[in-house]
Amino acid sequence: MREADRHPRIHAYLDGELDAAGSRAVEAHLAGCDACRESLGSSRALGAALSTPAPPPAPAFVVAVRARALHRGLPLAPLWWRGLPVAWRAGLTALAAVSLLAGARLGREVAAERAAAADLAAALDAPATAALLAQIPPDTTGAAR
Amino acid sequence: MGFESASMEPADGADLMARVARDDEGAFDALVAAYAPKLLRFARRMLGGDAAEAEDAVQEAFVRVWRARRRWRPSACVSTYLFTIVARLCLNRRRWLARRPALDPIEGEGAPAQPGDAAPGPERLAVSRQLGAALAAELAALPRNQRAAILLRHEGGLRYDEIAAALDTSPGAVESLLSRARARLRSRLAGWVSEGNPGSRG
Repeated sequence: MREADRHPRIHAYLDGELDAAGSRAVEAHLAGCDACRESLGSSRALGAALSTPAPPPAPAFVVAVRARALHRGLPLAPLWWRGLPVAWRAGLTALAAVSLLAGARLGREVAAERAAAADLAAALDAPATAALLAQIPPDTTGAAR
Repeated sequence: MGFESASMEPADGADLMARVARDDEGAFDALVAAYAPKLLRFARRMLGGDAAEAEDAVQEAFVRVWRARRRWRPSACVSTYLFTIVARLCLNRRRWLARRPALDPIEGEGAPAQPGDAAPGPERLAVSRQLGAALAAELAALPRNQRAAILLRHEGGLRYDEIAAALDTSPGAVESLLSRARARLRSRLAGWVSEGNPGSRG
């Protein structure tokens, strides 16, 4: 897979992550290495293909975002939560995950609960919660659209 | 650690966000309109081509931005901030979608437009569409961290340290992810993506 990447910093060079000395070193290497020059050129072309202008969304999208942001629901990550000790947060998070499992078994509003729990996990940046959620077999829930 | 880079920033992004932080709903609408196109395409690629999931993820991201507006730090880069939130939401959703290979090509996507090529002929359009489809399929087939890294780099314009923060990893690991992602995409898209001639194939 990496046959052409003979210089270890060629991607950092391409992405402008090297200082002046590092860039000069890569450029000196490039002058004498066809494989690296080719790799650099096709990586640049790939980047250009990925960063073309994106088509505008339907106007309804902006309206939908406004409706969701301004007129719906409770805050996802309230400040009181951030103020709790870590042990409390872990306990409550585990409780939420267990509740989610129970809900999934009962088959009630599973999709909504998964979404809520995923929101919680994302809001809290809690890898432990995400790992717990990942263990729930998707097939038991029918949550997929 | 911050979001200070400004490579992909629309000129008025920081101003819009500053007004959003002061509860300006009109500025929020403008922020959504300005950043939604890029974020929607990014989310769609992150989620294997699923347009409905992508819309939902981007909506959710903006909802979070609105709710957290009072905690906005003016030193941050708006674009980096938004891409980071969307990336994390998409990575959270990925496990639901893992078993579903959805490889829809993305509408309107394709080879970079050539300057002065205002009216591309039918041949060029067809090639663009094929490249768009091939690119979407190969992106969907990448390991998720590689996909996230290369999309955050090229669509979001994030620096390595910013990508590392978004993915909970180190800048060195980001360099490695990008190296592997590019090597794989180059080999799978050989002929489409060649030096100085993107989007052409015999």
